[in-house]
Amino acid sequence: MTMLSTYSLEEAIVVARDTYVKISRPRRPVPIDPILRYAEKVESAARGQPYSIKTMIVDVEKNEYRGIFARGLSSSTIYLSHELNDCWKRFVICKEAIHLLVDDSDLRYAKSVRDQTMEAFQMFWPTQSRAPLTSEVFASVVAFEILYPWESRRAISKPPEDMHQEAVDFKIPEHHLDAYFRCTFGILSEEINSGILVP
Amino acid sequence: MKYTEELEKWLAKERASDRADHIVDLKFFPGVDPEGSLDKLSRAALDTVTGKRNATPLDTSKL
Repeated sequence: MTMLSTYSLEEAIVVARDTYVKISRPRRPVPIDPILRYAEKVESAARGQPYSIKTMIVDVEKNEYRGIFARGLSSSTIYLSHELNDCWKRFVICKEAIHLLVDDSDLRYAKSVRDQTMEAFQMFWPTQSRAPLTSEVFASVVAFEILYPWESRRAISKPPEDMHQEAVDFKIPEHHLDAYFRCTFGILSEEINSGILVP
Repeated sequence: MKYTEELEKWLAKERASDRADHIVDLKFFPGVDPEGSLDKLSRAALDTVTGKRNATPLDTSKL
């Protein structure tokens, strides 16, 4: 797996395409378990010892958080809010697994808790293909690109008439699908994806 | 002590522990409330990772 020195939309899409090829394409919706098992396999190889990822549902107060990723040396735990629907659960799990795949050392992004949190609050869709992204935005873009894969998107010439049904078919958050088709992110994503020659 | 400070202190203690599986990094994906305070999130994170919140395993094969 690519270890990154900087984060950009271009790199996010390359990582997503690379990961997608290594899991069970071309099923729809893209299954989550193979993504987790792939992340475990990569981390196990990097550490030279077995590595596992647990996923837990947590009773949270309204809107407290969507997910927390607690990364350890021999295992990680993804905590999900009980308020999330299945589409959001899938997205958050995939996003947190991406953190494990692309963050190249245990403490590299361990800034203060305050900095990490403020990064997360500033989540936005990128507007430039080479602009640096925070790790939170980077992981979000990779997760979206895996769960709404280019392989399925490439034949789409215009936004689906029924956005909700499209979100249901791919089991992705409708909010993100809407953003993809309405924001600059979607245009940039198409440009980058169509220029990549790998599968 | 604010929850943010308490969480950072706890995380530092985790990193320094000699347990093989201690937590070395935490990342949050905030909720939908843009006005949610940092300490509210920190408190939720601290309670979650220290096991004070009710948590149950999720069967991801069904997602």
